Amino acid sequence: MKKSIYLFLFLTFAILSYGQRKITGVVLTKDGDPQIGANIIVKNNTAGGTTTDVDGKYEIIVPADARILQYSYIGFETKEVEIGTSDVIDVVMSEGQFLEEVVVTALGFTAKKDRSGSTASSINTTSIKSSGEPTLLNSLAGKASGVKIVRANGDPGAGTNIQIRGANTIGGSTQPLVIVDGVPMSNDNLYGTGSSRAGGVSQQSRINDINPEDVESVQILKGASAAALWGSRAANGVLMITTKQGKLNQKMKVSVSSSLSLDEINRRHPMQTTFGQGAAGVFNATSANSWGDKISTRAGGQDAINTAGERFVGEDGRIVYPITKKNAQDVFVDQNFDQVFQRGFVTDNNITFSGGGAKTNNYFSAGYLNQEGIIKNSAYTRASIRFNNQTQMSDKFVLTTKANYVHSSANRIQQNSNTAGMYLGLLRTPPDFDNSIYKGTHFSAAGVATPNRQRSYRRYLGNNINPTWNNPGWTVFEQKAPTTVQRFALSSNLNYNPSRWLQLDLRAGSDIYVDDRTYFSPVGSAAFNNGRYESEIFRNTETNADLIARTDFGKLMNGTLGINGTLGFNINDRLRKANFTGSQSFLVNSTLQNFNNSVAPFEVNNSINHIRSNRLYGILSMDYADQLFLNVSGTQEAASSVSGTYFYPSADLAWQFTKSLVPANSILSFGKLRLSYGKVGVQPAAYRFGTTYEQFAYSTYDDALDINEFGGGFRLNDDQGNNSLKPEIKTEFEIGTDLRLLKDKITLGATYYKNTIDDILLAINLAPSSGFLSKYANAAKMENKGLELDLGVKILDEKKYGLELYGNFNNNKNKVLSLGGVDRLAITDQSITSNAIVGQPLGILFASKALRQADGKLALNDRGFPQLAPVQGIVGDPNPDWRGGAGIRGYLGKLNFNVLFETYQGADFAERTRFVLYAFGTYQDVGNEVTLTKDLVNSAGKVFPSGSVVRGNIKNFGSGDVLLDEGWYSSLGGGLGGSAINEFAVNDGSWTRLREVSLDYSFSGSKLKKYTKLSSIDVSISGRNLALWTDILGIDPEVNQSGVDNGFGIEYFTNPSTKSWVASIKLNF
Amino acid sequence: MKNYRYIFLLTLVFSMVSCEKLVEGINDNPNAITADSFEAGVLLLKGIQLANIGVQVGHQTRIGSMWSGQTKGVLLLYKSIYEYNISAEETNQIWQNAYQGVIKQAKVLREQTASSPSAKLLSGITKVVEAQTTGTLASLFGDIPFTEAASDIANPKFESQKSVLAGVQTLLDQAIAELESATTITLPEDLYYGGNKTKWTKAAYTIKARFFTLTREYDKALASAKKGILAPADAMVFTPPAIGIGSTNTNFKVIDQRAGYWGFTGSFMDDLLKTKRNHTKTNEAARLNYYRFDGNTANNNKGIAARNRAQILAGYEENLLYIAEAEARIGSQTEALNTLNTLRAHLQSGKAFEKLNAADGLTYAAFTIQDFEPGGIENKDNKATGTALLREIIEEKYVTNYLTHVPFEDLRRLSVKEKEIAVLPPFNINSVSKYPQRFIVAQSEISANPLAPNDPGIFVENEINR
Repeated sequence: MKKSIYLFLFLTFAILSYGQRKITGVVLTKDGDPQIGANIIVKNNTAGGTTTDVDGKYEIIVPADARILQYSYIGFETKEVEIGTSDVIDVVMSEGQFLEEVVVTALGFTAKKDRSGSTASSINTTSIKSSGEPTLLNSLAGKASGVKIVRANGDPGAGTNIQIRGANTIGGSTQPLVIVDGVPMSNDNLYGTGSSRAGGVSQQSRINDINPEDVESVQILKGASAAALWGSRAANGVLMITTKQGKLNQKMKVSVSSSLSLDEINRRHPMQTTFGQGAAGVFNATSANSWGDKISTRAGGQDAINTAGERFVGEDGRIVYPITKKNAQDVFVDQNFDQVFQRGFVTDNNITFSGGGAKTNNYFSAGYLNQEGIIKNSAYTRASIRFNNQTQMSDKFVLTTKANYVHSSANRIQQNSNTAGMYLGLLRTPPDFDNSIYKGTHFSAAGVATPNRQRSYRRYLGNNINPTWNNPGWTVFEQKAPTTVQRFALSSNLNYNPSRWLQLDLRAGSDIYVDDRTYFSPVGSAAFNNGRYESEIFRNTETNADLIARTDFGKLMNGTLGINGTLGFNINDRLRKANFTGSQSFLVNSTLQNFNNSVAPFEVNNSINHIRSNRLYGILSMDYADQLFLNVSGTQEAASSVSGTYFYPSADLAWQFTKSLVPANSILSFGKLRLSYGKVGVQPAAYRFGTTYEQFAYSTYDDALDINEFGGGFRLNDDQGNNSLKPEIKTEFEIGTDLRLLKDKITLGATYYKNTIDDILLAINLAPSSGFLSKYANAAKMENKGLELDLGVKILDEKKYGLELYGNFNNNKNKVLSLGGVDRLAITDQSITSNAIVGQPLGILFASKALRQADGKLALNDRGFPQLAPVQGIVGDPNPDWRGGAGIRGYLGKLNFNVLFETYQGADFAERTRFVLYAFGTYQDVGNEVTLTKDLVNSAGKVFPSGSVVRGNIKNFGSGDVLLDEGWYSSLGGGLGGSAINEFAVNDGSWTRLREVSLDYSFSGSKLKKYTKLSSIDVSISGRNLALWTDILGIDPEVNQSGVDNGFGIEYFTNPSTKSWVASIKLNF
Repeated sequence: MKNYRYIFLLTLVFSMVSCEKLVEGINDNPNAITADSFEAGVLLLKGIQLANIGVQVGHQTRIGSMWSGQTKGVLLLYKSIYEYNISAEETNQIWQNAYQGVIKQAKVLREQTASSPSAKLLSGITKVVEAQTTGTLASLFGDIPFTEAASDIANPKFESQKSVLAGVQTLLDQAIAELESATTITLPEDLYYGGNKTKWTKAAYTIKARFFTLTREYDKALASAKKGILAPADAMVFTPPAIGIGSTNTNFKVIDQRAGYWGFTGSFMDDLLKTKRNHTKTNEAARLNYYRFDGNTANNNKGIAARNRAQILAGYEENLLYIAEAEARIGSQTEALNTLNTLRAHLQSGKAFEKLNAADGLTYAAFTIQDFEPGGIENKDNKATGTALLREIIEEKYVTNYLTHVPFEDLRRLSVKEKEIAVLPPFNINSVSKYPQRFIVAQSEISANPLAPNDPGIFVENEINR
């Protein structure tokens, strides 16, 4: 509370004098049209401004000592005119360049970018819409340096991972804080009880509830100094989203837009079509693998069957009998693929109304997005309504209220490491097996009928309730995973302007959503033989209130020194309640999705997550001689999950050296140096102060014994409690420059940053022999450093045509410095894990390896094959050496185009699908046949004489050629678990892609107006992800098995990504 | 001067804020009971016993059975492990079950029930389970943390296998003493014996006999086994309630989850029961049918891997064979033979296992000493009579203790030093010349505990077998 003393200091600087005069005039555009709704204020006095009317006319009362009037309008250069003796000032405004680019500060106010000592990237509405992405976050990809934006997979509505300047935490969320119009909005990506990252359905990023149509701009606050006001929530940076607003004195504008996107799979796993189901070269109709006979050597025609007894009758009446001899040569790889994949599409329709009168302005939008994914039955719809209103209630009060309602629903398809998953069942299917009959009635030899039975390739007669893994048709058409989200976000800001030098803002908002998920698998599903019905409901409420006082003492010391100050108080409360009920046993085989059909045991759990924090913050800004700009801020915060209070300071300094040291000239038109320093944090998770008792299940390998089925009981939690939790503190220093060269033709932004994150919270692995497995503690330390570059080069810059090259670059280097005494912490589970390892970048891949000699070469056995090392080790680094985006955009009259490439270089990627499919014998490169030109030995020591034709591949591990065949691929050279050499599943995952191509044209003019009553028609066509260059086979290396997660670089039967063509039209009335 | 009013008001508003007070109490856990406010005591017992089931009849037991010729690994992970490719991650779970699930919880339970009227009973029970888990771990891994384990020491030191096994015997002696002075109460939380102290005492002796056999202290093994489980009803078993998918027979569950990974057909055991074991006095057909399991379809299993089939953790048959082996080695040949015949009579009675198919042969006629003399039906290769008898006892142990740790323990104890009497299944791949001797210490322990020794791999003998 000591900080309030500073306020006193600011306020006592006040020197007040009054005396007024009236100035009138007209504001026109270059073309001579009236500039409606332009803002006019006395410089350095945001209070008491006015706006121009429909004729561009204005009238403003100014204090007698006012010297400069400022005219501004979004998209136009702000103009300053000195108040002379005349009471009439007419102004012509020209369309904006970056010269007066504004940035949105962490509190949601605007500030001039050229005066800012910290870095931020802005992405405007045109850029968001031109991407054609149905969800907001994905549309930002590749557009800002140091910001990684990737979607988890191509599922409709799938989550999006954003990472700013590398990883900033290990155990907590890596996602930035999202602030919409000054109020935080939840960007949860919850997996809950009903789904897991390793295997299940992909979950959404909640911020994608926002309709991109409503977004005016997105600003990414990358550095700690810019974000420090948000204290312990800002370590991952802050995304400032500003929604559209109507304009005062603007007649109603209506626009109707519609877009259609066609999506298809962008990478498809190549499968072999030469060899059939079976093992050791022999057909076997129930074998898991496809190491069977060569299909072309079969007799051909129909299979020999036994029609005397057992049979399976498909839903369409087709009958499957036991095969006595496999004759058919048919392969079904494409047909099986087409059974579950389709051309996806998205339709997105929006209508917006905006406008305003003298005292109020409004923006209203309604949007409906409907998406069908590339996997059949995967779908996403989003209906949203937004109403933004701003009312000048009096000279001194402005009330802004924004309300947004969103209803979204989706059906997700099971994926990843999950026997009920789509890709797992599809890609393991032998090429000679037809998946199309996936459901029907099984008749036993005795004639007993079992209806609604699943048929899978390992149970081709459907003679068992357990299909081992699903027929993909069953996964897609019979299993359901719908989610419905209803969300309401409301915020109000009351701006009170009691005096020329003081403004008060009381701002409060609430963001409430209910996410209602169900998971349904009928009787006979893999993993859920007796059926599964689960209901999980999240109710999330985030309430936030700020009281902010701002003072501005424009000109002291003869106008060379400006000081302004901000003092604010914030309280933020986040409450989430989750209820889960599940049953994995149905009474009868029905599609009824209700617990009515369930029998015990039921799994029921509920949880509450409540965190409250409050902060007192202050900013003191000074500018000197219009070239030195200094900001100092401090935030004192207390949070419920932290013991004690913490202070987050920040400071940044900007110096426009072209105003003194090197005067602006024809080469260097603008130059600024920036320095900044700041601290931000990550809050501990709630309720970690004490060790608890928990219920549990014990499994040594898929043989779990669940205490709930033994009448319940406790164990002392394997996670040890900790009552002295502190926030993680990230301290960042950055230095940078913004330059504009050759009359602003070239813009260059360069920033070097280095940050250290101390006291990182994580569940450190304890030695299990200590009796605990983990302890949540402030244990780790990590650093990031890197260079960010943003470049723009205007090649042509004429009124009628223009061409600009742009690009960004970042080479973030992350390093885990300590893990509290442990040398490794796994972030994901499964055979290849993504980890924190001391001395390595976060995310590093760890798995079983091949045995090596002291010199690092493979230690081969006497046959020339690698051997499994007894202890696991590092197998790859999924972090890129550098990444960047580069593009070209231009315009010719009203025709605009944009092409954006994005690249990600020097990152490893674990292709686990491919690796495991080697063992199954279905991947293309294990379907090869080789004719030996010399005697070769296989992994079992068998010698194949020269001249023989064998299925497999020839490889030299270092001591001469060897034959890789079924024996190798189904033990060390393929498969899953720590008993295969998983190191061999990791490859170079670098990629370059054509992220975005767009072309749009705007029809407008008097003729259009006359004949159609439309002021303009905008049409555009764009493409997303149209081309991808990578060494990774079969999958887009951008996907991530664990979704929006700190762990990455691994794929295991993960649903694929898409490429899209989008066409849209917008009618503006 | 109305401006000063604002200053005053603002100062007042901001000064009223008291940061920490606004968040007080919110972090009290609404989701779980915390250990500092409640003592769970006997509620921990079921968990201790469930974790021990995983240790006794879980993943490592199946792996041991694959490495000792009893079962086969057919697909993916199990195939690879079957071929002796195994990494440290495979033992994370048993390590967790043992240290966190059994040992830590047992210590907490004892602490929390110290002043309870049934303190001695609970202490005795938990020590027996703790000893069984610890001894099993020492048997599988060799040197392990023991005295410093689960006792507020961050990185417990590893102690020699011999000293751990000696400590386990001491722990069992303590348990027996406590059980003997305890009073039996009905204890529904006790999944094994429902609080019956007499049965617990017998189980403790049988477990002692198992570990004394391991360390070749046959005199002590004999003495212990004689006080051990001497009636089928006293056996320590896990009886799966099988009310859902989290309470079934562990082998059923793994087949259900990992169809095709694991198999029986074509194993050495399959072959043994089909051929060599059968002669005029023995017909193993019924036992083979009971032992055979379908690794592809869990629900087809009616025998040893049936959904609700009880799993033996310390058994009557096992105990008889500790007596028989020790008698044959250091005591009376007659007693050894009599004990073997007691077991055979039990097998013959049809109570030892369920006869699944009425037509299957089931014959276990009593042996006479002539059967083991040179040229006898159990001594066609003309060994010394004592050797032939011991060899049959070991082979009976191999068959009877199917899907427990005992066959793999015997293989490691005997395959190098006493080849003559050992059951020696063929190697699973032809590039090795030695059976696996141990498991690799859990990756989770290696990563977190700097005192974990460099692991020598699975083919290096543990201390007791060197």
